[in-house]
Amino acid sequence: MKSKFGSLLKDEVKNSLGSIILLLALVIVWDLFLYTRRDSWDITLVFILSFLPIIFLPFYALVSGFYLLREEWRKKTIVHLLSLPVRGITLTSVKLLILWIETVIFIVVIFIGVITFSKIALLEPIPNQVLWQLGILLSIISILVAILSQFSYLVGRVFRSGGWLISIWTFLVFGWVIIRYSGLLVPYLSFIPNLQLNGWFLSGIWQYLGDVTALQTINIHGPTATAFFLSFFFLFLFGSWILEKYTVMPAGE
Amino acid sequence: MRASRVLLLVLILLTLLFVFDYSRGGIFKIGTQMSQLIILPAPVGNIPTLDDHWFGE
Repeated sequence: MKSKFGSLLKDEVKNSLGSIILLLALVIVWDLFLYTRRDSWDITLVFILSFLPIIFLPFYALVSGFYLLREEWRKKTIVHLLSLPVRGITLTSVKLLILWIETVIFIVVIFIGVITFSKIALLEPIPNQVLWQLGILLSIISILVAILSQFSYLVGRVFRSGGWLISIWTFLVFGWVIIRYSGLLVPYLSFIPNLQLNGWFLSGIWQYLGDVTALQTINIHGPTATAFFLSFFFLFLFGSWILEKYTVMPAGE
Repeated sequence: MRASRVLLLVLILLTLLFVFDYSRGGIFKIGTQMSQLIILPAPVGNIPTLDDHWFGE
């Protein structure tokens, strides 16, 4: 199973090289543009704008979750993949892993730009801990969005017609259900400790607005966050099971 | 196909749950839930524009 996973991952890496290069090029062009503006624009603004590509990460995860699976149906390779002795969860895991790798590369390149501009704009360097925590948080958010979009696509593929409509409907309804009702698991997870993140960015904004009393930490409620992650994990398992058992194969095979 | 019927039923039931929850003001509780998940650094009180109402009542 491990070698199957490896060979599937290798194929996916080859397929996603184009999108990785495109992403890198877009971020680098954006940073170069900002670099040329450093004398004419406010340098703090240039530093803040160097974070801008981060906004596109969740959208990229959303589109990629759909797209990576859609390609298998479009090229009709899904028939071949499901005929191999691999489980649905292996296929969905490979897709998520490749998306995670792309996200990490994207985040690293953005942060290189951010660190460069912070050296020009700020008196003190950004604490490393802040960048690590922000990077991990962003990659987790991307994976969660990708799980939901992957699941939505797979549900759409169970139907012979109207798949896209069903996918969008599934995305909205299940997204809402997780946000609204994952909290029901919280009483069973109360043993999980809370997390504290470095609130350097946010407390910096408050200080900029003239308030120095703001806390320096962001508190994450452990049980609620775990319930949230568990719900997405169940959705991932459910989606993998649907892929293996109930998806409709493309016509002509 | 049987699986598609079951999934369609699940979607319809969840949509009805959404409508029921929405009619009881459930959509406004999402903000409170999110503020339970992440407690952001907030000023002690001298900036009134961004206060507890940021996430709704």
